[in-house]
Amino acid sequence: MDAITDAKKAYRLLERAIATRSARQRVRQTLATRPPHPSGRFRIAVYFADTDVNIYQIRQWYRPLQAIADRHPVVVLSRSPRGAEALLDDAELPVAYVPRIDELEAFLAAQDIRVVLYVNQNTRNFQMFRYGRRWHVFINHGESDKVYMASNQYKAYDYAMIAGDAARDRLAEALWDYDVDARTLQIGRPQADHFAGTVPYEPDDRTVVLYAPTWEGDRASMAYGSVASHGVALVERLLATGRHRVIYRPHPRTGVMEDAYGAASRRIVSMIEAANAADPTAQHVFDDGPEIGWQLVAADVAIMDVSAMIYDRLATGRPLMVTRPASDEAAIDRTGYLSDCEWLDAHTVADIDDEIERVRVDDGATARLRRWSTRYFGDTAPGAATARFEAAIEWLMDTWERQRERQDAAS
Amino acid sequence: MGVVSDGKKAYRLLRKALASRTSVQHVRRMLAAQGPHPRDHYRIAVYFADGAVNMYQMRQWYKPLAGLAERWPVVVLSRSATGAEKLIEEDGLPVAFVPTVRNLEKFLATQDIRVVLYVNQNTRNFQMFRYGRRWHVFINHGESDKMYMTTNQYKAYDYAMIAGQAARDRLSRTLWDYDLDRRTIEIGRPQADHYSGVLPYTPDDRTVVLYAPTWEGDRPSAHYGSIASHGETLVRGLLATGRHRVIYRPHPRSGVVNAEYGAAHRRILAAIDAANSADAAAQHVYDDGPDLGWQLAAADVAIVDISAMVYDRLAAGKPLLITRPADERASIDTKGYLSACEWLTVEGAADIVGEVERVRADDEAVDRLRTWVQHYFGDTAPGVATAKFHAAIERLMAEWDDWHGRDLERGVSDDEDDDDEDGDD
Repeated sequence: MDAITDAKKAYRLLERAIATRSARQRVRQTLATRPPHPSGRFRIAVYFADTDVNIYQIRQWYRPLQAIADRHPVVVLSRSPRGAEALLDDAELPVAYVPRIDELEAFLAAQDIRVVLYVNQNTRNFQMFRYGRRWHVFINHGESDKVYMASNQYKAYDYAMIAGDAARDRLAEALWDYDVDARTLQIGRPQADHFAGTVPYEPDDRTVVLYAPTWEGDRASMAYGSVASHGVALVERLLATGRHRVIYRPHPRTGVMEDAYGAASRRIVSMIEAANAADPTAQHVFDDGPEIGWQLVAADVAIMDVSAMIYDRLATGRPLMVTRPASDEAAIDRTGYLSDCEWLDAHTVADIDDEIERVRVDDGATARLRRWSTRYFGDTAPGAATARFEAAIEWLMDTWERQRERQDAAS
Repeated sequence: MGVVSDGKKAYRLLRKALASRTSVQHVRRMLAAQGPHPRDHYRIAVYFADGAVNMYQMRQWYKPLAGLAERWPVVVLSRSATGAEKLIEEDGLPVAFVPTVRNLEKFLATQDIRVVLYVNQNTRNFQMFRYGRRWHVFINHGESDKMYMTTNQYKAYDYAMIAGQAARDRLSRTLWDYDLDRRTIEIGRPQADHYSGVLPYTPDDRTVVLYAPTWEGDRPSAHYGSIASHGETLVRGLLATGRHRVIYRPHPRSGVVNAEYGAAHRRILAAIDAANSADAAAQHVYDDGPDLGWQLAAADVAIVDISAMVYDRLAAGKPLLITRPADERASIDTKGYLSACEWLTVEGAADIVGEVERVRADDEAVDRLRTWVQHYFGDTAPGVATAKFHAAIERLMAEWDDWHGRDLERGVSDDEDDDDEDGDD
């Protein structure tokens, strides 16, 4: 038994080592065909030590970063071969592949990096903290009420960019002796200003409803998925009205644990196909594309499960409903937005068109939405978050200059 | 070629995996034999993610921490199997072996750890920073003018304990926007109050001279070793007087790169043997023991090469001579103590008796030493650094009570952590 586990373990180790090695070779080959980065070019680095698995964490920052790169050129410092490979494939930002410390140091010596941005709490971020006389700034990869959002690791950075007052209060409560006002910069969610993807239908009078459920989960406390409990009935109802357009975007893991859950999702897809066949102008969408953005902005109403998606929608300031998990065992945060959101119970799905109307026009509902989206993201008017992000970068660059002058004066 | 190196790599990986598995099992067996840690017992943890190779960083803290543990129980959180093996074997402090984050969290959940101390800048320290509502404090493993002493990583901790004014100046020159007054606590070198080992001779009227050279170095900029250039001359000079006792403590790597350096070392050994045979009362010492401490405290004068040893001796507050490297390419710090120390040149080694007398008796040399010792370590009177170290911990514990009290008033409770693991390659 032990010998078998050992052999398995060894095999897995080996497999991983070989995959990493070939990724490393491919990355080196790709980079060898390109001219080296001109020295002294970059001012901002995004430090990314993760692999391709977590590439979504940096992907959501491409557009906001591209927007500032004209003024302050941005480079990604990639520490892992598989991360670098994914970044090079995306080809959205210049990439420096610096797996070893001496490579990292040589790159830093050739560039004038004044601000280093971090999108996650990878252990190897700590290696980058060695290099002072620049600002280390945590920008994270989303806003939510998870414990990750108030990790004590925030204290290790010079600054953190945060979404809004909700994040501010969360940090103030969790972290001891952390001067939240001095060390955080509120920027909202600049990602929400950058539409990823194009709308795959001709807009018309139909009310667009985004239904973006999560998967079934692998523990009772994570059973947030609504495809089986709410999804079939609600999509069926919306397809029948002739006044709605459904964008169905299920989680990619849907059905991996539970066949019935997967079957419910397939039923929804075939209902959509049938509806489109019956009336091509309906233009309902089954969305399994890589891009997330256009759906969040285009939908008049969004229906979502308890997941990070809720906060992405909240950042647009537009109406949403959250499905109440059918299982009582699913854990629900009681302090943040979920304590006061528009719940959609499985038994009210029959009245989904009324519910949709209600969250769009009811004064109480719209006021509540405005209050919560402001609390999490500040001003969500288009462009407002981008302006704050850019102002935060300018502020960091200015304080960099001031520190530099002070240091020159001292020596 | 690709296939061969893959095969080799695979073999190396396998061997490494097996070796680490064997150490893990060994550690678990040793700890099981000791029985479980009492619940809710420890208040201070020393986080040590390094392996056995860097155990010296931990070892120098055993005694100060054992002293502290009488008031605030201390446990070492060891993340690596070879590190844990060595820690258990050396038996300096209780050890919790917590290689995975899950192990670590389970242990933390059963204890009330209020202060976490770090002796180095291991990358995995960052994993421990997740856990708030306690203080993360860097205590380092020695004082010197090396670059390591001003890494920007200082800023990641809640506090850093530092030796003295020299460390302050160094950090304030280097770190941006770091509030030194708030975030550093000066403690001197408490290790110097716990000199380990016993004197291997009976003290008498002889002047005791510690000669502790380093190895020859593997690049010109590190050519600090003095065994061949100064060592033979100075040891022979001292052995001949009948008024001195030599403690010779060469670096264990002496001679690994340069055979001539090794030969000079062996001639010194032979000379010491001969002197002891001629006069048994001389009691010269060749010291290759594991303990470091008694030599630094006992010697009337120390002769050391450029190395951490300089600062260890400085912490004792007693006279020292630094050998001036014979190779001009050896790089020498020009800002700290080395800019004004007592150099022993190659020529000076011929008059070693005069040099030793000078640094002991010359008013100017004695004054200069006092100034520098004060600058690096503050008051070096026995017990003072230990008192400062204990006071620093008391202060952290009091602040812990304050913040914890605030949490209680606000009704805040500890949250469960969610699983956000790194995707390291």
